[in-house]
Amino acid sequence: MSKIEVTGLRKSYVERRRRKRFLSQCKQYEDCQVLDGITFSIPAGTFACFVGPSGCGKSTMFRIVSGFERPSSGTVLIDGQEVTGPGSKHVCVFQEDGLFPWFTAAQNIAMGLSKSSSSDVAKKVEDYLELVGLSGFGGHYPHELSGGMRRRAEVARALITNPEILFMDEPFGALDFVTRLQMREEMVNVHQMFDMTILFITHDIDEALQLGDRIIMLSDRPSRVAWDIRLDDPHPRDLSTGHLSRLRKEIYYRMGLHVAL
Amino acid sequence: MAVKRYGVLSLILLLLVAWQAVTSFFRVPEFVFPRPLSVARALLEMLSNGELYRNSIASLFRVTWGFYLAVATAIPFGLFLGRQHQLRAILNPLIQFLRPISPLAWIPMALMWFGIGDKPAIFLIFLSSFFPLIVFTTSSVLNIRTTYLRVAENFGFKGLRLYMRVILPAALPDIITALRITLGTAWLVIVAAEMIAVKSGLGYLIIDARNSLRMDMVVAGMVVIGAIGLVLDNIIRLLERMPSVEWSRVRR
Amino acid sequence: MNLVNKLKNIRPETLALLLAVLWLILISVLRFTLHSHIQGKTRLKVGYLPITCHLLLPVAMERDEFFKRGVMPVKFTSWPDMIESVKGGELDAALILAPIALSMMDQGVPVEIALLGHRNGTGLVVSSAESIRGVRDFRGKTVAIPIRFSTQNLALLTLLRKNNVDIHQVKRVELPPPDMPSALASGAIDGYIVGEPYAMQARVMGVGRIFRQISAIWPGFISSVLIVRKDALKKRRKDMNALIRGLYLQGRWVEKNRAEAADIAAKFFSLSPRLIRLVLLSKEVSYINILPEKSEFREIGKKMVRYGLLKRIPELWIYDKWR
Repeated sequence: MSKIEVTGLRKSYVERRRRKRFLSQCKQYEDCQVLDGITFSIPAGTFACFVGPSGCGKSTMFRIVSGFERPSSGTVLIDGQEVTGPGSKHVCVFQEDGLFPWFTAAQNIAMGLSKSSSSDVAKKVEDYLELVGLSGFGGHYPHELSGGMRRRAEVARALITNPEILFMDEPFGALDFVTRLQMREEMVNVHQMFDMTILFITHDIDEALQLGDRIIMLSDRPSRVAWDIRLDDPHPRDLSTGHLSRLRKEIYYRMGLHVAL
Repeated sequence: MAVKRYGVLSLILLLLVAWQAVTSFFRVPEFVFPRPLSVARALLEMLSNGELYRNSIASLFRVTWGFYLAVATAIPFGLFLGRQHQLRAILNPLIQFLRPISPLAWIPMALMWFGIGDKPAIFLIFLSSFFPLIVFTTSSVLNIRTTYLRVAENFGFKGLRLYMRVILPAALPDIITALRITLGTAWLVIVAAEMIAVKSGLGYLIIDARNSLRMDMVVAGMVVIGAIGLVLDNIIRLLERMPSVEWSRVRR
Repeated sequence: MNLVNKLKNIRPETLALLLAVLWLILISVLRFTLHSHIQGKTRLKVGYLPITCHLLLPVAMERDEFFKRGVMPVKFTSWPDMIESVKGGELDAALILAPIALSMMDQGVPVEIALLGHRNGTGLVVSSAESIRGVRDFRGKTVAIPIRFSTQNLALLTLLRKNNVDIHQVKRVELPPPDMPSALASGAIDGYIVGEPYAMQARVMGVGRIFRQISAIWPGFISSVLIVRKDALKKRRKDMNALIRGLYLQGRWVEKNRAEAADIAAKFFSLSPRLIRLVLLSKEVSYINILPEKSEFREIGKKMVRYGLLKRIPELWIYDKWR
């Protein structure tokens, strides 16, 4: 049985919310159907990357699958159960900074744990700080950390809950190029260390190619699954040669980007 | 820092000298605008006979109680209202209707309900802080970034824990700004509140000095009110330095 | 040392809260240690303003043993505040302007008139600019009155009427008495009518002169009266009687010891002793003959009706059982 089973996911804002804000947005796009029948299924333990042109509804899909929003129609099943809200076994890392700025890094990470004795918590938090390379930074507040460190702390906060699914919505989009490459490496390690399913949204095709066991390409809005690719290349992956390089070209081509390479 | 401090001091000195010079030069009568020296003398007089101390304590006592009562009720209520969209829709017009009414307009009512003494003054201070605090707190809850609320939901924060660990700390920087503003107004209102039937306080000091035709004491009272207001503002600004609210300053 | 370390480990939020609570305790303790002497619910609360019309109260506070024990004078700075305190039952008695007392009776506030403050002791002051020489010169001028519900106002209107001046040609403004001399000096008003010492004040400051003493406009003029609340009268008749009698008897003493009385009052009101002495020694005020008579109040009531301050003369309550 697959871990995440999504069938016929549709979302359109006009029919559900008649707020002015949305209406004006709809005028702009003339059609406010964001998702138009997205269907996919992901087995447990998969690192699934979602790519697609900007504004295609990746984040909307993300919020629906992770349980923060309801679809207009279609179903999301996790372990065969319909998703009705965000669950503690499915942790999200959002596009924007999600660390609580009023807590220190350590306090943020400890948030993921509940009701253990305090020494236990402290030790476990220290372990996870070390895991993401933040040893000694536990007492720092998020604004005292760099963008990359904040992301690491957030990943640590997600991991400490020992989640079955990790949802990540363009988590490294705001980072500089080198930091992004480092984070990719760490994500590969994390996925190998923890037995969990990762649903990873990105606009960076290279990122998807380097991380994913699956790459699901969404079409322009209203979006549907345009291409579903399975990859089993070993890590680290070299994108400049071989079939990965061809695959990359193909993805760009299908996204309508003929001049990109 | 040192430059700033000396700058402020020399500005004050300059103003004092100019004040003395202008009032002496144009022979402005003392009952129109007293000279700084006579104000200083009046200050010393009130300092030595304990009037200043006694009245400052009385004013601070009333402001403290009025303000604390407002904080203790308005902030929890505002936090709650910020999360209860339907209740807010119902109560908001009422709050917005009561808010622009100057607390001074309540003076007749306050006297009738609470008689004379501390209670009406405390009530007026409470009113002057309560409505602005509710409005500020509610809007600061509405301004909390959706991501934080989603994370809180994701990590299963609910009920009191949600308020204490997410909503309140997220709104706290804005709330502290609101506290600063409302404490300023509370201190403004106390003078007016003490001009009604109380026998003590800095507002009373001024009105009493006026009735005794002592303009020097009136100005001395004004100086003390200004000074205490400045100190209060500086104390509440210390709150902005708490590590758990520093982020809001960094982000701006 | 240990404590210092512990304090360092306290979260700043907790520390702030702790300090806030400590401040609350500190300020409350300071407040009540400093002001404990004003507490005392058993004392009769009597409202007054620092004017010579209310001079018997400070004199009694100084000279009468019952007052020292049983009376708590409450100083007001404006009439409206005092009115509300009487209505709210906060005060047991008050020295208040006669027309206000009548208006209260009309509104059903349970008060009775027990005594007059004094007689005369009001002056019509005009600017020393000499623009007003006769009553007719008031046309087009601005004259300050303490409040509409004052016999000062009624006296001014009476004077204008007697001299065939249309009262609408004179602009009357309400001003707190202490502000009147400086308003006159600044030219904001051309004259004012007020209880002493604020008429004398204009002379002392050299900004105005007395146009006419009140005795020349309204002989036996009544400014303030002592009103007592009926509920206080019912509960504490003995104390109330002592209060009224005390004030009445001090009136006789003041009449003979004016300079001494002036000094007592000046200290109590924190006004200049010289000013109060000037007022008292001028003999324009009188503290005898201060028993209230119904006929006089009917006269005041009639004037109030004439000038639209009352619809009809209310039932007049005069308390005389203490005599």
